[in-house]
Amino acid sequence: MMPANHQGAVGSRPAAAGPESRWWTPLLALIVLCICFSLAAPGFATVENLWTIADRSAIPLILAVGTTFIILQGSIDLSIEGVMAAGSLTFALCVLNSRTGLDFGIFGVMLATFVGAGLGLLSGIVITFLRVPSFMVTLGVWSASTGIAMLLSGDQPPLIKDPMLRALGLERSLGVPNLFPVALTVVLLGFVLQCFTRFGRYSMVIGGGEDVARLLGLPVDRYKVLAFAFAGLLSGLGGALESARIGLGHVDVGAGQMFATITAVVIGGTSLGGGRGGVVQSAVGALTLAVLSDGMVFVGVSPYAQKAVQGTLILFAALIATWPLRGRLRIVK
Amino acid sequence: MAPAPQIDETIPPEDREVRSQSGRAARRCAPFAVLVCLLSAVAAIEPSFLSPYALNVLADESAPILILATAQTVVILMGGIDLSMAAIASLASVLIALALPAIGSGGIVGVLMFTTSIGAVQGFIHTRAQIPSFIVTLAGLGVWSGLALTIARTTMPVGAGYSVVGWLARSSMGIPNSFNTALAALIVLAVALRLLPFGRHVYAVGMAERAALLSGVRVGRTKVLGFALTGLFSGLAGLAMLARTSSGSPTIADSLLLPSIAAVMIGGTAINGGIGGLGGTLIGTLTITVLRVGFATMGVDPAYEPIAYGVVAVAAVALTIDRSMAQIVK
Amino acid sequence: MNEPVLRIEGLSKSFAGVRALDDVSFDVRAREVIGLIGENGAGKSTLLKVLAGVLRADRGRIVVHGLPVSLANVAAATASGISMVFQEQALVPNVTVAENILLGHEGPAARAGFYDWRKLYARAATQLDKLGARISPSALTATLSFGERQLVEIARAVAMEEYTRHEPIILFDEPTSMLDAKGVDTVLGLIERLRRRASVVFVSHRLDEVLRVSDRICVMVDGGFVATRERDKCTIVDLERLMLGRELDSENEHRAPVSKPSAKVVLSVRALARRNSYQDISFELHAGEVLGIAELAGSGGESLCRTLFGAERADTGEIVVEGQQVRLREPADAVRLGIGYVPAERRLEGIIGGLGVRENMTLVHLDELLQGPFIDLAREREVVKSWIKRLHIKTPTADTQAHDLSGGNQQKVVLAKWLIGEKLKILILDHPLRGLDVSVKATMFALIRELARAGLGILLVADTVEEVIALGHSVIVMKDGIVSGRFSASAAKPSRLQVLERMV
Repeated sequence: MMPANHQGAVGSRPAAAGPESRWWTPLLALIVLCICFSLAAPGFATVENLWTIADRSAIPLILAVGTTFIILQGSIDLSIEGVMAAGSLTFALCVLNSRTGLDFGIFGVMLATFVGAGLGLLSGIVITFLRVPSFMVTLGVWSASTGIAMLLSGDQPPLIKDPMLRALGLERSLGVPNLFPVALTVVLLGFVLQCFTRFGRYSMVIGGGEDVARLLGLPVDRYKVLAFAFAGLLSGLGGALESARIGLGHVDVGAGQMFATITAVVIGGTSLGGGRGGVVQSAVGALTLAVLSDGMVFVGVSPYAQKAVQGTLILFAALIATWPLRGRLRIVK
Repeated sequence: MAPAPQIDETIPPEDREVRSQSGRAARRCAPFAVLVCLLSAVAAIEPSFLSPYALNVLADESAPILILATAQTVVILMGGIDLSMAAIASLASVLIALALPAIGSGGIVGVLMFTTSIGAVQGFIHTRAQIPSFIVTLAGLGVWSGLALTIARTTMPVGAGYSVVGWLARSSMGIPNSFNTALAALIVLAVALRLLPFGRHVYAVGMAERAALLSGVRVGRTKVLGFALTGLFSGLAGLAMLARTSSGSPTIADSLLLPSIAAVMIGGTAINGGIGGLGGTLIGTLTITVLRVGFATMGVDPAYEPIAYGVVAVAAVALTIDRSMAQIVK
Repeated sequence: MNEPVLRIEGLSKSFAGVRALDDVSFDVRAREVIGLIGENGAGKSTLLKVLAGVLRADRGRIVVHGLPVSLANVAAATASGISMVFQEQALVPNVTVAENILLGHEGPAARAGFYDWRKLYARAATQLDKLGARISPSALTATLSFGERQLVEIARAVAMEEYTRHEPIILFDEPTSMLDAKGVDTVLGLIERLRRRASVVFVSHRLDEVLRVSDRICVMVDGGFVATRERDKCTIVDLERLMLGRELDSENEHRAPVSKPSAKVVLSVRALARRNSYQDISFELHAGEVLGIAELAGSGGESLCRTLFGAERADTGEIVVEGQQVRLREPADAVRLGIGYVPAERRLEGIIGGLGVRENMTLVHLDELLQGPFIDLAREREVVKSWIKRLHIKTPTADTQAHDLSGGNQQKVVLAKWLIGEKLKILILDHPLRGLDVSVKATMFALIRELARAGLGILLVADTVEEVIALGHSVIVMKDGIVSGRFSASAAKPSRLQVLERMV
């Protein structure tokens, strides 16, 4: 029988056998990468280095979880660095520090997450109510959040003096960097959300068929706003934790993270078009990036080249994902 | 997928016409009105803002943003976006700083040819692989920025050879040459958009790409040309910044990305394309620069600048977006 | 059980001035299967969409189970007990079957936002069992075949009875048009099963199937109901006659084409095939000939037109233009060879709404209006003015935006766009008369005939059988992607019935 070839109709093409059916490819790539670096550079394959990589990957893992839900829905979040900065300054000023007299301890971290969630909420509301594309809104929120962080920072970035929090960021327990278990907890939380809650499942639906979802009357906007709020929350958390590690609240605390996070999510197998991938995949991607940057140092590649490598990776991942979807009448902006 | 109505069928056709007509009129006048209001507000607080000196500074400051925004307008009119322009501009400044002492003005031509071709390559990948321009240029941002950083860790002063570009930093008849050049480039491009088939194609692709394709427009070629233009103008922007600071730097233009995009939006060009133009971009650029310089003149904490940018950019897009077109916004 | 579960009174709906539904009234009784038939554009799909909440009627009343309802959206329709199985599936491909079936109505399987997968799968399995479908609820929807996905959508419609009080009313839009014989049996068997617990209204162009399962058959023509027949009291031939409806302006129908096609072949197509669209298409188009293609929506005509214009790629086969085999990589290639294309979706693909009449008209052949590299604006204005006059295009100015014109005038702009070119040899018209009122149709008829007389080769995919017979020197009938009938120019003109029976 000859079904009509309507543009985009589900029925006219068999299910694309793409990255979907090869979820293990990024994991394989990670393993191969580790092997290559171990062979290429002595000193890479040591326990000490393993923990260094774990430490390096902690913050990116946290950020990747938040970004994943947004990208699953088919949107994007460019505001990570700005929200991190705002979170970082909020945190630094609320715990024992060199500028203010506050000493909220661990609640400082919570406050940072609230600030992040608030900024994410703002993004989500503007996107859904004013119908402005996510990349534009989050670009603006990036800028505005950076400004807020600059205001808070003033002339003197606050130095963090709380010993417990600094230990959280810097030290290790039983050899494992403290931040790593925190990151793993967040990944686990993200996994549970994705697979066992309506928020997670509807995010998949929104990514794979927002028009169907709206047609059936699902509260799509609600889940979009939630995704941005959640991502903002985790960006705020990331900013606070990074500050705990470096010992001060700083506007540039998130430098480079936006790019790195998107790269991580994409090479892990989460498609930028939405509807495919997940938290675990993004985590694999973040680990891969951490291994890559660590390994490149061992091999002698300039850290500045990392950005170029990440850019190339994004391009290749996008290429692999979209190549089978090409069509003459397919409109891509 | 289940068919959803493309046009909002709950609005009767007659009302739709009236709405779109008034929308169009507002879109044309609003940017200018905003600029005038802003200018008046700043001048009211700080009257010295209207002095020849201050206006001169304004023009000089706006030049690099104007150059970037001019080419960005073409790409946005087609419905895409170029996030790599600032990175390419920085790269260009580094390459020119290296080339000038060694090769002289030929080096500038070479660098501009280089930036034009990398822009074209980005456009080619976008059209051939059908990857959204946003992703391709995001990747480009990383690659060119990384390349620039690898070549030159920090600022590289231009020693010998600066005289070739020194004129850009001076003024003719009281107006900075950088601004003159940028304005001239804008006018040339505006005329091209008006009088060349390319211009019609750009608007057609932005408004209704499929209809344009089915009318025999070589959409792929048009897009590649648009991105080649952004490559060229990015190089020019890098040149302008090098002339002003007498040095090239891998991060010299990084802070200009958002302002240049905002300038296009504020000028009334819709983010989904097809509507707007270079006249609006000029006004938008001036508005952004007034914000920038005005803040400094009024003694406002520089921290408020990025906040203002963010708010203004989003507000501008929200006001100018063509709602009848976009059903699903991601 | 004769109280109607669904009553429609005076339903009307217009799109941009064209009447899609014209004062429609009918009843659906409990546990009844109604087959809805009619030609393209008769209004069947529109009626279903209004009932399903996808579109809103301009006028009329809908009463469900005795209560008048306002179906503002799909959720409201579902809440009233009406659910639709779409022709172009409304499923989310990247989630499980169970999630699709229960989308939006997970109920106790998703308490407080947490998913109990076991319960979800169980509830979904229950729905699938009602249909006798052997599909795993945990399967990813994208991995299913087309037929299986259809079953999932039907299961979603059936799931409605778990949360509405009454028996559901299920609407089907062409449920069998994309299935093989086995799939057809499955779906028809399903509809029989559904009769035990629901009322069904289904649209189909396969009259034999409609007769197999329906209790009553309703025939629509031009947006209105013309007849209702009980199943045993009519034959396929009766239905065909009813479908053709009232006589078109007989002048147009009976008048033979004025000119004769020449012997020169401008376009030759050999064994053209494209997976999932059409197979083994071969024909020849002569200069001065109108080759009409008669088909029902989805039989491959649109795809064939697009392929001949370079907008889609054929998998195998040859396209020969004026003796030279060609490879069309994009529409611009076709344009250069002298091929023009008027798409069926005029508003979205024919005109560029936001551009003016002038810019629309000259978009294709700007290269013929240049002075050096620049557009000769004065000459452009002149040319546009002359064409506006020639085609009697009613527009306030030459720069009025195209979407402000009426449908007929928009279509004239589209035609002018191609005719302006000096080198036009072949014109492909896809449903060119769709949505136009009678007087504009007459003008178009005359125009197409004149173009043929001037030596153009015209490929015409028509809306109605009358058009094809009246305009075409020769006729090809397409059904489900293959050529099911040919009537050549030299033979006598076919009757409407002869054409129609090959379409269905």
